Amino acid sequence: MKKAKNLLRGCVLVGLLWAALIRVAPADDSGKDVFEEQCAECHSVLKDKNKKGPSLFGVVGRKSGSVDGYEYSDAMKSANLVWTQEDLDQYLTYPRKMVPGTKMKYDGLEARNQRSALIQYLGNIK
Amino acid sequence: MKFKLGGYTDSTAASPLIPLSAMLVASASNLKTKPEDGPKTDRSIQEASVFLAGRLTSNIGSFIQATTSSADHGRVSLDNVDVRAAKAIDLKGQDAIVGVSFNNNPTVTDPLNTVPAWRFPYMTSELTGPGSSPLLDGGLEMQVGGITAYAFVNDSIYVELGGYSSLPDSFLNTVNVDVPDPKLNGVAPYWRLAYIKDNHKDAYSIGLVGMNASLRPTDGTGSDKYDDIGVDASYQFLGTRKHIFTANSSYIHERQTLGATDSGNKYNLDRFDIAGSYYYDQTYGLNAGLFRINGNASDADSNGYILQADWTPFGKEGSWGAPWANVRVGLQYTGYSKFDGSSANASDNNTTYAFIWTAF
Repeated sequence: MKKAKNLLRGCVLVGLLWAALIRVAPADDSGKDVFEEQCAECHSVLKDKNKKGPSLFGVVGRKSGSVDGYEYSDAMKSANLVWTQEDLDQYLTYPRKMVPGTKMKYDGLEARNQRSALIQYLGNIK
Repeated sequence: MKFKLGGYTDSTAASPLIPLSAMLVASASNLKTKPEDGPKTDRSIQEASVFLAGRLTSNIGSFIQATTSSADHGRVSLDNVDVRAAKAIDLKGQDAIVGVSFNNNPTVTDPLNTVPAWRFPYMTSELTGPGSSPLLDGGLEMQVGGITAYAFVNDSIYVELGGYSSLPDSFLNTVNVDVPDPKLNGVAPYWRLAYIKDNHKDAYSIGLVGMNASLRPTDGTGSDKYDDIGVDASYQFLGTRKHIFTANSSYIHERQTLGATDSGNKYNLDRFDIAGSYYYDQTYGLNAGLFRINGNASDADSNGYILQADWTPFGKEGSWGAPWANVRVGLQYTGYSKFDGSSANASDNNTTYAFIWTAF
């Protein structure tokens, strides 16, 4: 009985902690914040800095599959896109729908305002 | 997590052809009271490891660790091994990663930080520690070989199933791992089921884990059975990575039937762990954990807490020497309210531990 009470107490503590953590989550409307939250794990905005994904320095207006030193998927190599704001918006909504076979393991960014802020932010990195 | 599930095969053009890396942990420990049969303090190179960790082919990768320490006097032994083959497939319209792992430590294959092989504290003093814990909690590490098959479906469901058996004495001698006694009697099945949700800005998981092992002493008859089942949960808030919070918890219940060493008597042993951490700017960290080990054997119970503060000056993108230089300095304190069944003098085992961790 004592063990069960302690376990319950532990679970309640964890639950309260989780709830508190979720409540303190800051707003994420700025493009830089969206980048840090959604992209920075795999991409850098530093020039020539490739991580799991290619550098996003100057990505807006860039030809797809064109970063030196990055090993793209065959699908991206042959996509033949220019990353306009519209194309980036479509790609970020559901990458694998626009470029089936892309290496990017990302399901997409649903919130239109976040996509818009992110693309605006990336457009200023050049 | 996906790097691991994908068989350690993700790479960039900058990735080395042979994925070698190294780690060095220097530490100093101090017990509150000197024990009758051991030292009060310890200063040592606690771990010096070389890793073959990364992509070997497009579908095969490894995490192989060889370790020595000042206590080993230069003797290098085989540490964690996880060699895996993995492939991304389409499973009836759902994305899935399927793979198979050869490894030497139950739970070392796991993608979460809630199971014993990867649970907080990630480093701790070797001067003392509770004598009892479920077998799944490191009781078979390095001395067994196992094959597990796993699938990660729809970026959310993780299933793993496999079995472990004792490795031959000749192999363990070759890789400088002490030959255990007792050894596994036959194959110990291991299974894992988890729901994982990674939202990039935060992530959470809940899971179940289990193993059924039978150990047979070399000079004895019969066997001791250990049936372990555990439940675990985690939450991680990542946000912009400026403020990172984590909470990990696990509870393992073990049913022991000691046919070889205790006339078939049955015992229960339960272990509950909960730990939380906060990191500012991926540099300054505070960690706190509670552990509670309860059993109906007379010396099973140990309860306590662990507090840790650490500083990671190098190791972020853009920091000095990145990505090669990684350094963490930490101070940890472990306090006991009960130790191996006794509340009296439990705090004699309280331990202060300072460490410098480097990897390159």
